[in-house]
Amino acid sequence: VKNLGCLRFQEALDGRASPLSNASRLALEEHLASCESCRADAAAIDQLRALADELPTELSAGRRTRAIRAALATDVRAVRPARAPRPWALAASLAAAAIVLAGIGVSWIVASDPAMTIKDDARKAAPPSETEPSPENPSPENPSAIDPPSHLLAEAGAVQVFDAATVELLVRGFLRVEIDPSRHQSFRVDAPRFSVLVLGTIFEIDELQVRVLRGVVQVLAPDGRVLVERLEAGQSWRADLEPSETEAPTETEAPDTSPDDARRLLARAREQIAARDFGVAGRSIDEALAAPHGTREAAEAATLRAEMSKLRGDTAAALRAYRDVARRYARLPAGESALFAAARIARQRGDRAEARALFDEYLSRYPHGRYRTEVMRNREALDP
Amino acid sequence: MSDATNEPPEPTEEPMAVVGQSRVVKPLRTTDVDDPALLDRCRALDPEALERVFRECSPAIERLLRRMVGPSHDIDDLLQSTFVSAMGTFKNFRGEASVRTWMCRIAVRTAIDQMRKPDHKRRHLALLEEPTDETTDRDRAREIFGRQCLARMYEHMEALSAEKRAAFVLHVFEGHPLEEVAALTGSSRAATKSRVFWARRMLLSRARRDPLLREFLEAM
Repeated sequence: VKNLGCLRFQEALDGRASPLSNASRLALEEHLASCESCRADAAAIDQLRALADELPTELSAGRRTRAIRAALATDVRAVRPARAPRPWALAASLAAAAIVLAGIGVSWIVASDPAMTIKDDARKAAPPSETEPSPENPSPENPSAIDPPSHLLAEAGAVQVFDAATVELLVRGFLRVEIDPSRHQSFRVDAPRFSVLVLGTIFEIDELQVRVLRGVVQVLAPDGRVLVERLEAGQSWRADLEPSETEAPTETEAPDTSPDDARRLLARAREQIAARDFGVAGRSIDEALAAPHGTREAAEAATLRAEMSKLRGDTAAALRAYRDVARRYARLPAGESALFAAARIARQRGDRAEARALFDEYLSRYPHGRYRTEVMRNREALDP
Repeated sequence: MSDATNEPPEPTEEPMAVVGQSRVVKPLRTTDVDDPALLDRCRALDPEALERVFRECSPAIERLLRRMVGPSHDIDDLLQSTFVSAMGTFKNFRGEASVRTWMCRIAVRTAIDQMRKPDHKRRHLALLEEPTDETTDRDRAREIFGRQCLARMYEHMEALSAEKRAAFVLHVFEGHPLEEVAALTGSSRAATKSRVFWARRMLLSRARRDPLLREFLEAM
């Protein structure tokens, strides 16, 4: 608890890293000498500041050059400048929300025409959607309806089609969608190459991929065929990684039977690997694969085999095994982890070209992947 | 009110050491990138002139962005967005402040916009490097502890509003005077002072309740 005397020194206390006048400095020093509470605060701030000083602050020359070149390549005519914080923005947003809500009744009637679209060609350059019309973000001038139970956050670049029966969105660009599971019936998001059936979830979607942040979605082909029965939180799926007829065969995304036996055996195998009992672990993996299992268990089994090779010191075999997992299970988290592991092994083996290629492949496949920061740092270190 | 709160900071030409610390504040300075002819070329979006200005200003902007968003977020995209915003508004730059200060202001707004986004709290995993032969277990443990504390501190800072966090980082960590922070964030001095006060109070309170940070604070 601070007394009134302490409160007089708060500004000087906060501003100790900035230039203080001699008078302020002396007064503060005098106060700190006599006030244990403020002295403790000052010491804690110094320590936290020292912690913040540990942050690497500057980018490498390569990353800086890439950022500058990418900016210079941008068509600035399509870009709006960053705005200063506007104190009236909240009030304006509330007013706009009231207008949207009032218009929903009308929109529901009009929405029986399925051809309603919102077009927006600006992508990435413009900030998230605004309430006021603008050349870069013309959505408010179009008829639109946001289903009351849904909470839709659209970045510029989305094309949305609202249907009367369900909320149906045709996506061009990037969308983050949040649906209240307690109030909403199922609805579908149609992207150019696939559709997503959702029931209460949070997910991100663009033309090529969908990432589930909460809940479960189902991915459908344009012809209605089920591509992924259940895509769960933390998983993502990309349309361009779907196997074509000319590609090497990959594991099918069959409905996950989630067999307990296979999982139990794989868990046991993991413990045996940790104990370096590789022979027994190999047999447990074989037994798991002999039991009914789903794609995830198959990916786990292949990953465990790769780990065994690595622990045995056979990095060439481990690299091959991880690459195989990455190729066959590219849509699963195990595939992403395996690609990262393969790149790290290539780097440790001193194969810089291979490591560079694998890190690049990771960034290309998973631009928002879980290991992105680490991959970028490793990739940077491999630059000549 | 005492001198400590009433007296405005004395103008300083040289970097000043501050109470109880060896920290030195580097004032934002005017350099050859403020050359009027160069700035005119930037207003005309001459790529060569822009690249020269961006390269000169980039280290200061990178530092600002990194301090504001923390260790778990990449600043490459923010840096690029800052440059793109600068290109879009260069024609309005009147040269009243140095170009570096002006670009730092854009960077601060870019970072604040980023921190306001709902998915800002989604973090990328940062794995530790494989230990090298020269790294002792003790060094390794200390490094891991430091990185954990740093990450935890920024997690607590994410509980602050974007404006409070920006004001706190710029003033308390970066050492910019309140007036400069107010200009960088487009706020009044009084609002900035209040934000810094409440941010500091909240951060210290959370840090002292956090077992990891409490251990860090007590160990030092």
